[in-house]
Amino acid sequence: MDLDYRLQMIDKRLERVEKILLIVSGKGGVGKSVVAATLANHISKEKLVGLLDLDLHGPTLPLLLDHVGRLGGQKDGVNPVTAGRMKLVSLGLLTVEKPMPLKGEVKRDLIIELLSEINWGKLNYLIADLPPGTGDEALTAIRLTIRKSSAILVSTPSPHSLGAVKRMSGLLVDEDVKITGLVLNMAYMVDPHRGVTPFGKYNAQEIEKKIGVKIIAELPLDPEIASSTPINMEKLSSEFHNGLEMIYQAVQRSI
Amino acid sequence: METLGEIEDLKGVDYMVAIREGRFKCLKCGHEWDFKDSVKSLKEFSKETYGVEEPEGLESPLHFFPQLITVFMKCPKCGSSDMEVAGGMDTVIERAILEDQ
Repeated sequence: MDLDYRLQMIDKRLERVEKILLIVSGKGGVGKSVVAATLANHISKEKLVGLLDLDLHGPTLPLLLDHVGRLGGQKDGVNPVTAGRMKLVSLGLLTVEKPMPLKGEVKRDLIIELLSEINWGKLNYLIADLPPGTGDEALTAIRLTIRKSSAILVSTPSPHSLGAVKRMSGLLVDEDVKITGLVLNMAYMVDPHRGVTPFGKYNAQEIEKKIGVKIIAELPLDPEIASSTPINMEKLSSEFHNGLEMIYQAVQRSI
Repeated sequence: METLGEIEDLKGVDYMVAIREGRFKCLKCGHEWDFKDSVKSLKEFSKETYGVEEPEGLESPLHFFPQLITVFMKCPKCGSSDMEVAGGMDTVIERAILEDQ
């Protein structure tokens, strides 16, 4: 019997969550949180969606989403805040702009706490924005959610980012995590710089061969995302919306 | 204790509980201090950030995420944010006395 009661609580908290989507990357700065936030928004048009920010050092989801309420507790746990049609939990809601100098074991502990204390209620999808890389906190989150999860890898087409994402996909395979596919983010520009590929020309088939994971969507670098917080979904390009729909379709196929 | 009491194997167990105060150590200057020495700065942070002096008890984020305590505090001696919890955060079983049945 495991004496850490929180590990038993995780199953209870996630009991009414049908599917967990882990948004992962090999390194930071590839737009993982943007993909998590916009995908959650897209799916929430027809499903019940929760969004969990597990990026402990750089929680950005509160910046990307228009949210109301304050993260607070009750006797039986912590209730998410509301962000449009979604439920949102992020430590950024508590720490605001304070630096978060957290040590290794503390980070692992916080991940367990976040998974064991939140009252999500019924959700069709819980989308978890994981910390970048293959560190302790990412591993902990992956292991503790494995029964309901599948992973969506996010990378730019840059060789540096792809090298890191290959390491991450290797880790996911070793941990027996189902992989839905790879999203190439910031792959090309939309108007007024249409045709520009900011990370250079790339060959999607070669990338798939190298990483060993199918590309499920190529998202553009949309100036709207860089220029607005929170993200205004209505102002995003049709290419971006189409990309989100392709990711969602891949998710549905993988279930 | 209530949760433990619900576990079949632990029914009928008597517990002796000792409360240890939270203690912190600065990793920059080595200074150690007690939680009570930081209460004032925590209240100030809470007022500045949330608009209330101190969200009490269950309302406090620290109730559910005590690991964040080092985010909200600074070393009272040198002002560094680099610190660790030196004691008093976890619930630990220090000793178990077993009797033959």
